[in-house]
Amino acid sequence: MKDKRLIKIVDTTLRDGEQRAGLAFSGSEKLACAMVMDRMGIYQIEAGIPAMCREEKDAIYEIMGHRKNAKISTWNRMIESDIESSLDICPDIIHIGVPVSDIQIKEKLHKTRDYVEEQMKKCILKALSGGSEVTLGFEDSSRADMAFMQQLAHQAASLGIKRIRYADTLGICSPSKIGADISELVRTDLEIECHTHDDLGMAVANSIVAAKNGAEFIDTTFLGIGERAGNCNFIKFITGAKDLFEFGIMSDFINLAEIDNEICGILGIGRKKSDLYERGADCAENRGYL
Amino acid sequence: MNRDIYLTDKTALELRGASPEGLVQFLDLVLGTGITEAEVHPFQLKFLKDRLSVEKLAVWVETPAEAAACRRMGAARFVTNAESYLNGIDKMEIPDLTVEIRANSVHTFLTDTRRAEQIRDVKIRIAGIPDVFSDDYKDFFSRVFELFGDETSADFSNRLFCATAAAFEWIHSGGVRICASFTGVGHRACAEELLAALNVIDKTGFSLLNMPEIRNVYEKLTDQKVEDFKPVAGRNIFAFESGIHADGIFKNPINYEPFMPESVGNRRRLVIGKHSGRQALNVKLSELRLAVDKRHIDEINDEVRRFAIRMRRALRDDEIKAICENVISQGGAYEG
Repeated sequence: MKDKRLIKIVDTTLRDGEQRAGLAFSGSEKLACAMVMDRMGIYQIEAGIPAMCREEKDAIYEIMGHRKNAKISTWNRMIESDIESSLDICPDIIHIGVPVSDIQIKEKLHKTRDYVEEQMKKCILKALSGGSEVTLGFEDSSRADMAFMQQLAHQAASLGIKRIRYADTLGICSPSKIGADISELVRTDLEIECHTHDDLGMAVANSIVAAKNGAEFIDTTFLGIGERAGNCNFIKFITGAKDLFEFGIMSDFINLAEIDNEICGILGIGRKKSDLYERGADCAENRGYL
Repeated sequence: MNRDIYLTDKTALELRGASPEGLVQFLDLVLGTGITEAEVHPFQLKFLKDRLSVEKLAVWVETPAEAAACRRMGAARFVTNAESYLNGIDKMEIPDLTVEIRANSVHTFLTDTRRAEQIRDVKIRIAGIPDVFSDDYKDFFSRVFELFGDETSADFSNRLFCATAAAFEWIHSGGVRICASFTGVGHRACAEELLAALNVIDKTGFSLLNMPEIRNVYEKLTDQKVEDFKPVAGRNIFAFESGIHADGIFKNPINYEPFMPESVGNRRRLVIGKHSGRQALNVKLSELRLAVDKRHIDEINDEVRRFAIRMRRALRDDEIKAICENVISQGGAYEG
């Protein structure tokens, strides 16, 4: 039997997942959640955005102090002050979000492609100065010009970047589109990570096809939480892709439903408790996780 | 996309216990989106045929007797499984008949010419296939069309959570007939997701304006709530909070919205919570008609964040007002 290729899971429950409107995790909840992920063998935990506030920075720092195996990464805008906030806590990985679609460059940044290229370089050099690994996230990749993304990828590689994230920020990709795009990006010889959203109900399929076409890292969240209709659901992705790939998850944690329940219990989220102004009574303290 | 797509909604097959009035209302709304037909049971056809156009109904039959009874009721289109077809329905003269072949039999028909010959002259639907993306799905679809014809329809299983995507790629590979159901009930492709995907990616013109009504009627029929963040149909999918996204949406919603909320009968909603930034807070304060000196904004923002973390949720409008009043009048934190 042919060996299955390893796909590394990048969990972003504590960053993109928490961005679902109405969610607010405490530092202790984030820590408890991260420890479950660490024990089960998740490759990388995207723990939050240090630039957001002091509490967030402290929470990420606490996670770094307790984890045993998982790489801990921080998410940053393409802004020097964001990078500085990350450098203060020296995460394993500093991830920089780079808007790459002409729509976002114009409508969100009010800038040009040249600005994005220059600012990207500045932020990469700043982030590398602290000794952390640095990865780039191409925001809104699905609406971006592939030639521009490849150009940025080559620039980034020349500065020492080894991995870029293809982000279907608006969740508008189809499997055939994402398969073609990932195949193109793989030609840059960088490691490719794929981040999908579920606005059209295709996040899991898109992630599977991305992996089949060469993505080595797949971003997921527990319960599929995230902006709008959410991100690629961890359990669904593992279930859908388990015959194709290995994920490096420890066999002790083979009962994914139990782990899913544990995470949801820690964070006080559930399939029915989705009212913006309520939280499940089963938050971390009540369940005795802390 | 220039081709006409023939969409069959199979929700009714999963709603055996639904009230006749409720089912009529539901299917009327579903057919209003541009879905071609609804597939129903014979007992449902009895009351539906007088309330909906029979041209928009297909009936699932399993015996020649059922088929005959439905024909007497004026049914225009019939669907059956391969076993029932070969056990007598093949002897009946039914002008518009589709024969459904389940997943584990598809391979047999693809490789056994004798079996394939038995169903050569009927329209075929392949059903229950959970996984097309492990292998070369375009090649698989191509072989299916080659063997069964371009009129073949598909009803993908969502057991591996890829049915909507499989349905979309089926259409993109040349398929013109596809099955789905509301919220994917019955473990199949999700109708509203498929329609939204076709609208967003292929600029088709399916109407999802009545999504809230469809959802409400469905919830009454099933006594089950549709998840608030369910793609396309969820109540809260356009609620936004995080500062980065809020900033992008304020500048132009096109930055972060895959389709306009109004296109699915929804609306954009700003939520104030842990991730809110100053700009979002200012917008909310303006909505609440609270005039706040900008000197206080940072402190109010910090208090909002601490409150959200403490309560582990977003803030209601009255709580935001109370924080503002405390910060401004007393210069202190709101204990809440």
